[in-house]
Amino acid sequence: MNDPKKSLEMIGKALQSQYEALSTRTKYKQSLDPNVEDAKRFCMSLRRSARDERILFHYNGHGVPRPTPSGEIWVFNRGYTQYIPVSVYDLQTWLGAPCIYAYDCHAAGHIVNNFNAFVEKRKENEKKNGPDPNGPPAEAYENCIQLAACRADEVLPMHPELPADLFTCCITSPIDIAVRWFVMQSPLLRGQFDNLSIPGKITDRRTPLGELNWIFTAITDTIAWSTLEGPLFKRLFRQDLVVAAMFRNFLLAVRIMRVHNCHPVSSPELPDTHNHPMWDAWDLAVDHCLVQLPMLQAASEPGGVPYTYKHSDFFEQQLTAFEVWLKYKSSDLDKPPEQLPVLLQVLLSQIHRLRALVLLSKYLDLGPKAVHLALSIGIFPYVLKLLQSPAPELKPVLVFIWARIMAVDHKAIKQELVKENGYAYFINILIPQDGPVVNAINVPEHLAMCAFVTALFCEGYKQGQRLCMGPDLFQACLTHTEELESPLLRQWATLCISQLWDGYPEAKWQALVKDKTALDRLSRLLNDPVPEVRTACIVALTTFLGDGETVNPNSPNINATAVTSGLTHGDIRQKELSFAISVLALTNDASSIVRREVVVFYSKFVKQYRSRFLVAAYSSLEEDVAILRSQTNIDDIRANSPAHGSIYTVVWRALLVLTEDPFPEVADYAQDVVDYVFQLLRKTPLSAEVEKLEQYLVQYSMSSLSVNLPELQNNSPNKATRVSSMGPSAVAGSGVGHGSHNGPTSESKFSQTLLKRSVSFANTLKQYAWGSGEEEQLQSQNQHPQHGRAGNGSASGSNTLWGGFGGSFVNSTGAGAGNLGNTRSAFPTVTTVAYGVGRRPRPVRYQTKDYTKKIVLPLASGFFEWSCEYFQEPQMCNTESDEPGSERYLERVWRKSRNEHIIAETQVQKEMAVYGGWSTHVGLLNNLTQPTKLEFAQFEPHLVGVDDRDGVTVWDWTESTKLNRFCNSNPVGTRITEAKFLNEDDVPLLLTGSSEGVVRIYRHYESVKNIELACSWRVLTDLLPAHRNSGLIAEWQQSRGALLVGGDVRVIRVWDAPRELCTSDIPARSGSPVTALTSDQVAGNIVVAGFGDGGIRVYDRRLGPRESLVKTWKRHKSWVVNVRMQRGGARELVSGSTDGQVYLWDIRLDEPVLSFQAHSNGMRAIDVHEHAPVIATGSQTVGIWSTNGNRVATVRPPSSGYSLGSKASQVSALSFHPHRMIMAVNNVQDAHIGVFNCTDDPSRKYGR
Amino acid sequence: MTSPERARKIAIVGASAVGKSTVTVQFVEKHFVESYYPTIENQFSKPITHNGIEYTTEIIDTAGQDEFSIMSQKLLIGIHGYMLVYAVTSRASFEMIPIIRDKILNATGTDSLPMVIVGNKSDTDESHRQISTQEGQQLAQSLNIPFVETSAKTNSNIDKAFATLIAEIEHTTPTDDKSKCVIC
Repeated sequence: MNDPKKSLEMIGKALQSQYEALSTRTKYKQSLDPNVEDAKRFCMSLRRSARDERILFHYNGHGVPRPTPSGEIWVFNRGYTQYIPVSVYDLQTWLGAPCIYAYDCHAAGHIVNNFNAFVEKRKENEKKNGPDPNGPPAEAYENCIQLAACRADEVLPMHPELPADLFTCCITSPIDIAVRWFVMQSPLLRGQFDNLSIPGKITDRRTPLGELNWIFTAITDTIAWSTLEGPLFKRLFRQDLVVAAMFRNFLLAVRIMRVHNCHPVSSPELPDTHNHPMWDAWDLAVDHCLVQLPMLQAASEPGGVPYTYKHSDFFEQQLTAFEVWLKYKSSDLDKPPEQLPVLLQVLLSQIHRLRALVLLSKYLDLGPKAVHLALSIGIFPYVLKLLQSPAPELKPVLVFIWARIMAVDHKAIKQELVKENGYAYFINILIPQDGPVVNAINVPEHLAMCAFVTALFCEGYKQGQRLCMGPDLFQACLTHTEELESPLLRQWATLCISQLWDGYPEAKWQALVKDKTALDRLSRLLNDPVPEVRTACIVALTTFLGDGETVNPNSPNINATAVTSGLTHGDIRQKELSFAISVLALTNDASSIVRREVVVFYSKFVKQYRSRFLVAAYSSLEEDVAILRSQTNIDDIRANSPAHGSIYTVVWRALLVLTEDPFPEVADYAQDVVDYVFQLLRKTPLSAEVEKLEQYLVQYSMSSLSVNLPELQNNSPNKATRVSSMGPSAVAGSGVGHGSHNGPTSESKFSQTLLKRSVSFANTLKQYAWGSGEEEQLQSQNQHPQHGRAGNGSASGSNTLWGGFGGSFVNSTGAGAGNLGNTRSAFPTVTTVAYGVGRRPRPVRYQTKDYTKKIVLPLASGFFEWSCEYFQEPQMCNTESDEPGSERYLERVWRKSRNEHIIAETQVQKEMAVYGGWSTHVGLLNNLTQPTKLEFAQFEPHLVGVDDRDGVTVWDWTESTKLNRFCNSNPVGTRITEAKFLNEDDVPLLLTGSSEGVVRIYRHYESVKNIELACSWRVLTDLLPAHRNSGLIAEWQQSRGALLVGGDVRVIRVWDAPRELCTSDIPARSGSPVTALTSDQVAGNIVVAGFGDGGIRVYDRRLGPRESLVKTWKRHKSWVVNVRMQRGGARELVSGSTDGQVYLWDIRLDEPVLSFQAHSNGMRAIDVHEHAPVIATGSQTVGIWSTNGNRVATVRPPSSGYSLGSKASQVSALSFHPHRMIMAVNNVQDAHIGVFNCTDDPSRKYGR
Repeated sequence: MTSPERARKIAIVGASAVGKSTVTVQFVEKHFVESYYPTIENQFSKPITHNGIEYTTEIIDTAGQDEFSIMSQKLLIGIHGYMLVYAVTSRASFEMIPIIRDKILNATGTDSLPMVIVGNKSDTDESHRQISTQEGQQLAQSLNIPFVETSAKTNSNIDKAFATLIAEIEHTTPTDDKSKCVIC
């Protein structure tokens, strides 16, 4: 070592070059052995030149005394005769903020502690005296970062083999020192290595040195990510390259210096990282390199043997580890895998990139949490950069990754896609190019994802729309909407189109100009079999509609393109009107999302053409009042009204119908639209007239209702107001939509009445919206119809007797039932529970309407956001129920085995059914209301009873406990006539059909808390009036997913469950209502219906509607009670009528195979077991017959204990369990259900 | 221009923070330095009169030492006398005195050199004093070196200390020897 003066400069220069390796863009200045004034000047000039940027201050304190406990570091005096202390406070002031400090000296911890203490003091001063005008605010000092070599009480290591400034080495040249230290620590390697220089360049990842550096970066990054808190990690390791590098190297310093009893300190403090298991991976990597070092060095010498360096497999192993994690532990998203930061590093290298991307896509597939984690690591800039890559094999993976990221965080990311035309990547994929598609594993899926990304890009982002506007994209999307294979692609191509032109008229005109048939092609999707696609199409049409402003022909929105293309204002109007008409067809769709979207469409339409709607509304009001007053000049009124027969009236009426929709959300939406129009109507000059009409209607409804439903008169006033808002037709049981089915909020509605919102009024109107044909019925239906049970004359006598006692039943179920005892009850019913009692199950995610909010049209449709959620769910892995080992899967397996077990168990019992005794009581259930129908579930121990109003009760008959009782929400005056179980092999759903023509499907029906309304829609419209109503009869074909419904209509309607559409109507060819429906369950082609006039008809679904009737039998003389085709066993077809006659049929023959008279006193119920050859008929007793016609047993139905005297009770409902030999019986005027079991009776077997 | 025979070099040595610089500054500049700046090395020049003869004295104020520190050559060659300073408030500094003396003697290879032991900070009150005057005297006697207790703060005995050292130097150096070699 030479000249001491020179050595000072050499040290300075070396330090600078070391720092330059970390960051080349920084300007460096050295201050070597300064005195106080020099130091001050130096610092202040640094701050002046740096302004607001960060200053890095490295203090090398070797050779001066240690920093004092009071926070002073030492510099020299001018004569270098003394050490002068400089307080860190002054240093702070000179250097300002922000700064990074690195202290390499003994007892460096003193500086850190005092620095922080001084910052606190500054803050206090600031609070007292106000901020210092010259310098930065005190908080800025808090953001300074400090790295100190050791704690306050420690001395730097003085090991002869280690450099004195070990800390600086670690911070600035980590690889060198790490390798050197590794050799020092290892007992084996001592003395072997003289020359530890690893060949290669740090920046070149292919060389050994570069690779080692790369691995080091990955490892320290991972260690930091897994030990630090999120925000701290982000601040230190992700915001600034130099800070990140210094902190990574600091982790190394911590590890190395700890061994030498030195603990580097940092502010902000980092948790302990030196024991992290990843360091072992680092050691391995170093070892791997060192092992090859002699060979490499030998090769570099002249004449040496050439040697190719074997690259470290660190990254491959990490990727494999990640794969393993994905495979086995991916459900635990809270504890993310350690390999995630390594993944980020791997993306940089060409070799492993594809694999890393595939793994990344699999990881992102796990859900939004995974996406957030990945984004927090900093994947995003890389993924953005990769969009520039032309590599075709990356396309599918990138598209998938982007779809997942956008699904979670699209608002923030949209702007990023504009940079460097990132969005063009997706558009290019959508527009079909020439050339082969590489890796087309699932091309429609990927196209759908591209459409999804583009749609999100345009959503609510004008610039995005502008950038995407181009005829090619539109055409491409249109082509994709016709893709038959993938409904997802159709849905998203349509949604993409809708976002392209949403609120952006230029795009709309462009579309029209370039392709005249474009809109027609789009509207074809309205008939798509998949409900989501239909909804998407409606969304697209909704966004096409103007915003209520483009109606103005002078509006600046219609730009040159439109005008020059010859598109007049009228053309556009035409198109909009034609859309309105096509959408009309979808108001009867079974799917509630479609219907809701229809309402949204019409809300926009109403807003657009609101003036016309005002006219339509007013004139329909006029008409309806005229009808009520029975005015004769109704036709004149109609002719006078300008709106008569126009599209607007039709749409208005459709909206009124929709306010009565059985699905609450749809009804709420429609009500909003209707109320909006009425509010507007109030503001017009006609408002006085409107009020008059409204008053009339309301009064009329109140009066007529109280006449017909007297028992409701005594109810609490709340109930009365609610019910009275329904209008007279509430009385009619035949399928006319009416009545409010909203909850208790309706009385608040009414109280607000005519002043603020006429919601209740809207309700009143609904009934009148049903075309002219219905109004006549309304008049005739003022009399409450007889219940179906009273078909036999003898029953009516007992009815009145029972009527008196009906009141004495004290039924206090449900709130507000109050005093319901009414001796003057007009109906012969044992139930005195009013309508609307009990919980009304709601659909999932339903929010009750907030009546105080102002209505804003057009209504917001949540469909787009809901569809986006699809991409947040895992797509690659199996659903939980398919995943072996998951809870659901195990449940399924258990259920399957249980079901099979039950079937096996019961098959052998078939024989016993014929001779066994059926009188064994299993249970007596008190239903509290009279059930009209009883239905057993196949495999669950559930028995459901639906009553003649709107209550549904679920029993567990094995334990005779009531599991749940809820309200079916059918309107007052209607009754539930059908109950069926769906999907019984899996988790069963309960379907109820009520006589207004609405079907409701419930999930988790047995649970009081979890019951939810899965779906509901109107299956039958135009129900006919009849002398006696059968209500709604349904048959569910599980194998085909078809629901057949019939009732008081002329057709048997077939609804397809997967498509949620009505696929066909089978004309019943009969004048009387359908009273029973059955079909063959295997193929589902043969349908048999029984009618009220005694006829039985057989239909074949394979034939067209005209030819579908294949057989007619007119043997029965009276109302057919039931027709059943056995599912198993001998597949008998049995029918029974109210006169007691039972026939067995073979559909090939015209005559019955067997006939017998089961009862002489009339028969009210008949059921056939699905497997055992037994028939049960109910009259005054229950008769059990074998299919030979022999009477097997007679069972006395359960007596309620309250029965009066000698009057024998009649059986009203009867049902067999589908598999077990169990039967449920219920009597007229009795709320008790008796459950009977067939027990083996060997004596009878042989004694026959 | 002073004649070469009248130039003297003395070095002030001792443990750190005993008051070497303060004593020197008090002597040379006649004021008391309150603050403490660890000295690296300082050099002062002052004429001291002894027995009517004026000696131009260079006083080398050194950095504090401990038993491990190495004495630089500058302090060993050409120094006429040493002032060994300790603080009466610090026993450690007192114990350093013999060590430093040994260091010097070892380094210079002599048996004895002109030295004086100075106990500084004598103005402190009895409660803080750790070395009594007697103890100091005893040590000095055992080493056969003169002993002075001074206080730079109150400027007591400062001049006396320096005068003693000069006297010691004159005493041990043969003066006016009229030898052929003249080495100063």
